Parts: sequence; structure tokens; C-alpha cells
Amino acid sequence: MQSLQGSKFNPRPVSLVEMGVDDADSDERLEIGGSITLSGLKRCAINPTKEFVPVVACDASSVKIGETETGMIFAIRAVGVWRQQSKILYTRWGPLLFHVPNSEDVSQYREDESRAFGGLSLKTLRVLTRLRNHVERWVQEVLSESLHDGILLIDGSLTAGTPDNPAARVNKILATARQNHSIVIGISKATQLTVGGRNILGLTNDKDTPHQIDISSLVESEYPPYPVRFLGRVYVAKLSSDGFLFRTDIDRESTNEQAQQALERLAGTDVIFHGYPETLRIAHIFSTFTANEILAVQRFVASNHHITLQSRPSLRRSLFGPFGTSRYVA
Amino acid sequence: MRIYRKEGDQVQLIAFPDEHVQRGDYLLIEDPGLAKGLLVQIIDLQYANVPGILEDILRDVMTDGELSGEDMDPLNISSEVDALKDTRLAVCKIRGTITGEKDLSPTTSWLPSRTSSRIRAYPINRLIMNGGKRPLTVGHNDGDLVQIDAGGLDGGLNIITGRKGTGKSHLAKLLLLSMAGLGAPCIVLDVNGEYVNLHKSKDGRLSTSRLTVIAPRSGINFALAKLGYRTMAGVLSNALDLPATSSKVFSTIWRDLESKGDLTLPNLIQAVQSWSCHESVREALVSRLQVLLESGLFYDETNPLTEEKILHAIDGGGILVVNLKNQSHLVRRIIVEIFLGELTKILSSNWLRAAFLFAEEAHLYLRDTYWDDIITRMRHIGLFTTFITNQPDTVQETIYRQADNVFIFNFTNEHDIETIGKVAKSDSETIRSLIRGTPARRCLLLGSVVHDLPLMVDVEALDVRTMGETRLFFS
Repeated sequence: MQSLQGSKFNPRPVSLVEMGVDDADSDERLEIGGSITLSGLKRCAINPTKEFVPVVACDASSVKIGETETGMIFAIRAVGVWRQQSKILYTRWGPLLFHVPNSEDVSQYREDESRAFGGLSLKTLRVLTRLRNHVERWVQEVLSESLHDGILLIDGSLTAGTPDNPAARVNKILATARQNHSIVIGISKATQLTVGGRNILGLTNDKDTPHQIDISSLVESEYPPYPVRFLGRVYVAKLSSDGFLFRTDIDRESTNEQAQQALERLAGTDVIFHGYPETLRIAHIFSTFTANEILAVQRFVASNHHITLQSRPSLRRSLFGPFGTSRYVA
Repeated sequence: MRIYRKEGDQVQLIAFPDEHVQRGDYLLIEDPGLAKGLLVQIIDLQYANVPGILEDILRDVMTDGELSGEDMDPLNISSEVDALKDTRLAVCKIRGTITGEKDLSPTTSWLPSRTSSRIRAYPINRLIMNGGKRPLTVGHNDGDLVQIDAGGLDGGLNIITGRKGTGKSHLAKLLLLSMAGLGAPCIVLDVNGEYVNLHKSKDGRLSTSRLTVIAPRSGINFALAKLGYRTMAGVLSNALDLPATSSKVFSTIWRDLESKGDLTLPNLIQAVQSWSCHESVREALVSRLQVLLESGLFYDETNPLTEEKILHAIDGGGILVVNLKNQSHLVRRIIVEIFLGELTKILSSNWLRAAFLFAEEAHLYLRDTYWDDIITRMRHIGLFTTFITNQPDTVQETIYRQADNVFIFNFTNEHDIETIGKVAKSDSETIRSLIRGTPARRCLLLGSVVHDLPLMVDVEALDVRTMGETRLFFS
């Protein structure tokens, strides 16, 4: 960031009516063959137990702040939320600012079409995902060390094994939690996991009581064990009667009974808002950036690094006017 | 500060929290390309209410209850968010165009550049006192001394109004002492006995002000012969509501006694009692003359208050306080009727060039027809009135429309604000916005004394006993 002193900066245009911006919040795409049927999958009821268990949730968000002459500036923020007997505590780390330079190969820079539309190049997007994952995993490590006899909720699945999301790191978090008699549950807000072309979240109807279906066998039989690794049992779970279904990953080293007990204790301890744990919901709300925060970071960058704000005309807006996309990222 | 938008005669500016702005401030939007500036006045300050703010505030609210925590914010960006939340929208009225250093023209038919214009606070005081020869200090505006030209109060009708306890009388006393200090003859109709100690400092020392206080049985003593038929007929008709038929009989009796040189109040009563007329006329006249007798205003007709004495008290910068405290409504009306008659005589005879009348709560003693008389006829003979009231609806709308200067203190009542909004010297939006929520002693100046540039002023403190000697229980 220090090297940016005195340069020019094209701030990201923000719509102040759009809420909770998170550029790297993407769905996982996993598709299970059309020949697979759902028959034989066991459906287990979740009976919330009122026995209190400490619940800790973690989430992180990243957002593009603007473009410099040599790259892009991003902000990342991570949040940990502790549900205790009578109160909820949170710690927020960030916003942390990162400048991601473009490719040094000038010819590649010119051919980078996505940049011409103000979006993120593949390389930049990967760096951003990696940075965000790094910060999020760091927070998860901290939380897994500090939590004893509790449930650690993370946003997303326990699928790992890519360069951006190394399996070793997730394994370490799971192992630390196990040592502290805690259990890690990953809840995905959205998933592209489909079975026979049908999204797994449509497996049951709205009127069902809280329950879970273990689809690990389906998922594991369809995917090779390497490089992508399923470090958790994959469930489709509904935590409250009025709630939605969520893909829920639970540490695969835990037994079926432990996983079932963890879900029941979670449903009994946490407030379940439309089927989603309140603690994780708070973590998400507190980590995402509001439009005003993006403006504030832009102001900070401009004033503290003496960077001149210079809005570049939006090609998309010029070409398509109101018919163009309203998304921040092309 | 940045220009956000213009709508009609208003400009909206975005002001960041570190930029000190307040309602009433004047700003100059200078366009370097056009070498001129738009003079605007802030009439309202709002939050820059962008929709996304709601989400930020809702997040903050979440942490108010059972949710608490800490932010590890190494770059302290949250302060920038707070700054955005506190960013204000300054709603400004366009007052004119400034070219050169201080040449103000009412032109508003141009727009300064939104990108290159520079916005800065404009010291309006230099326009207010521009070339004035008789500086009169009224107070401070954001720390800067505000002086008006006393000439702006000359020849005009002034109104001082505001809620009780906001500083109306204080300003009236300040103007009164300053005008007297400049040699202006001043008369005060003092309903509450607040002006009787104006010549004393707070610690009791006597000042150089020439103050004469008169009251019934203490200086106010009239003689029928000196007052004359016209004044007395006016008193009976206007203050005591004598019917027209009785007035004719009164005229005949008056002329009879005048020709005999026997014109005193007891003689007049006796003459009416023995006069050959209808019993109802006699009754009407006797009852009213008895009121005059019992008022104590004619207790010694051999040594009355004359035009000469009044003139002596006020000429060359004297203040004559007519103390009406503890007097009945009727007696007040009689005194004021007589006084205005006497002043008219003095001014019509050119014994005095002009006089300044300060009338506290004039609705308590001034008959309806006198309002118009004061702003038309009396104004032309040189009686310049300042009305002081906390009930703005007691002053007729025509008075507000013709007032040359209006000094407005705080009002909270919608009805009062509505009434005051009819002042012709400014638009009602400016008045409504600026007077709401103003603290005590802060006043909005409108009119010729401020060259029609509305100005907020914190009125100067006075080292005089501004209150009458009120008897207190908890002293």
C-alpha cells in the first residue's frame, strides 16, 4: 500500500441501496450424476436439546475497493461471534487492506478483457480468494483453540484440497477442535450440489419437522478422493420447522451419534432464524461491508495514501445504460 | 464542502464532520472560472441521509443490547465510517452574487461549478456595516462582533418578538441605551417596570445614561387646560369608549368652561352634573370623568407634566420611562393615549426632529386604530416605534408586512411561528428554519439594519440592572 503514494485511484462505484457486499461469497458447484437416486437415504429427526453448549461462529468477507494504475485494492474483514449463556460477544478483525498488483506481463495486461469491463481478472480473483481464505482460516484456527466442549460454526463447507483452500489447514482446525472436545459444523447458505440434476436443498418439502439426511455416501461415491477432499460428512439439514434446508458439513472424524447430538444441541442452544443459526447469521452480518463502509475505505485510502480519486467512465453503463448489470463485479 | 444540488432558490451542500457549520452561517461558493461567488445562507442542517446508512445504524443498534464486542481495526477505518454517518447536508438559501471583495448583487441566475468551486465561510459582518456611520454593537456571530448602523433603525417600524425569557427586553434595552448614547430621544412604555433601573450598573453604580422615570402620582400629572380639547376628547372616545352623542355634549361643556378659564377636572365634573342634557348622557360623561379623577393622573393640575418637560427629558439622548407597572388596563390606556397625543403635538410643532418609542406588550394598552396610526401618520411626523411582544399574534399582519426591521428570538409554538413567517423582510422558510431551537439571547435580525441579509446574533450582555426591582420570596 505504501508504494501507492501519490498515484491515481478509480474508486468502485457503489449503490447505497445495496446491502451487505461480499465479492468472494460464491457457491460451490458440485454435481452428482443423473443416474444416482435418492432411495435408501436415511432421514433422521432433529430433536433440539435444551442443554446449553457454547456456540462460536466465524465468517469473513472481502470486497473490491477500487482500481489503481497497477492493480486493485481489496478489503477483508473477519468476525468471530461467541454465544454465551446470557450474552453474545463478537470480535471483528479488519478491514484489512490489500493491494493486488496486475500481471507484470504488459502484453497479458492489455489482453485482459475482464479488466476492460471493470471486473476482476482470473488471477486477481484467485489472489483475492486465497487472501480471504487465509484470513478466515486464521480466525477459525484461533477460535478452535479457544473453544472447549462447544460447537464451532463456519460459513461454507468442509470441502478442501485446492491451492486456494488447502486441506492441511482445514484438517488442523478440525483436529484442534477435536482435542478441545468441540465439533466443527460448516453451513452453506447456498450450494450447487445437485443429485440427479436436482438441487439437494429441494429434497424435502416445507412442512417437514427438523431433520437431517446424510448424503455423504452419495457425494463421496461420485468424486475421486483427490485432489478435492470431503473433510466432513455432508448432510442436508433443516434445523427448525419454519426454516430452509442447508447443506451442513460435520467433521467426518466424528461418529454419526456425535454429529446427530451436535445438531440437536445446536438447534436447542442457538436461536434458529429461518433454519439458520443466529450466531452464524450475526457473524455474516458483521463481516459483510456496507456501501458506506466501502465509501469510508475509499476516503481512507485517498486521504492516507494521498491517492487521487479518478472515476473512470463505466463502459458497461455507457453501452447498456439502465439495462446493464447492477452488480459490482462484472 | 461540496455542492450536492440546487433546487429553486436553494442549494444543498455536503459538509463533513470536521467542517464547522451551523444554521444561519453565510457561505461563499466561489467559482474561480467565472471570478464570482454565490452567497448562500445555511437555513437547515440535516444528516446526509443516504439509504445505506440505515443498515449501518441497524448494525450499531444490534450491539446496544445483549450483543457486545470489540473491533480490531488497525487502520481505524471505523472512524471514517462514523464520519460518513455524521456527514451533513446543509440546506442553503441563495442570497445573491458577490463580485470583487464585497459587491453584493441580488443576481442568482447563474450556477457555480460543482467540481471546481471552492466553498468558504463568508464574514457577512463586513456587508452589514458596509459604510455605516453610526455603529451600534448588537452582539456576536460565531465569535465575530456584529455591529449594525443605527441609521437602519431611523425612520422605521421595528418589532422585537420571541418567547418569554428568550431575551427580547434585553435587546430592547441594548438598542435603547445605544440609541440614547447616539443622542436619540427615546420614550419607553414600560408595562412591567423593567426599565426603571437602566441607569444603574449591576453593582449599583450610576451610568452616564440620562434616564427619567415617571409614573402615576410620581411625575405623571396632567392638567385639562394644558392637554387641550383634542387630547381629552381622544381619551374619552378611545380609551374610555364615550359614545358619539355624549362627545358632542362634552364638546359644548368644554368650550363653555374654557371660555371662562375654569378648566379643571373637578370643575368639569361639576359642570356636567348641572348641565341641561339627557340623563343617560350625563351619566355617561360623569362616570368616565370620575374614572379620570380616580386614576390619580390629574391630582395637581397646577403643576402638570407639560410638553416642555417631556421634551427636556428626552432631547439630546434622554430616555423617558413611563412606568405602567401595577396600573389597571384602563389607566394604561389613558396614559398612553395622552402620551401619544403629547408626542404628536411636540413632533408636529417641530420642537423635536424625531423620537423613538419603545412599546412593551403594546396590545395591553394600545387601541386597535392606533396601530395603523403609528405606522402611517406618526411615522411621518417622526415617531419611530419599536414593538416588543411575546405574543406575535397580537400584532396585526399589516404591521409585520410594513415593519422595517424585525428581531426574532426563539419560538416553539407552531401558531407563533406561522404568524412570524408573514414578515415581508424575508421568506417564511428562512424564518421558520432559523428560529426553531435557537438558544436564549440568540436572535434573528431581518430588515434594513442587516441590508435584508438575515443574520443570527448572540445578543451582547449588558452591565445594567435589566430587571425591575422585583420582590422575590427566594432571594
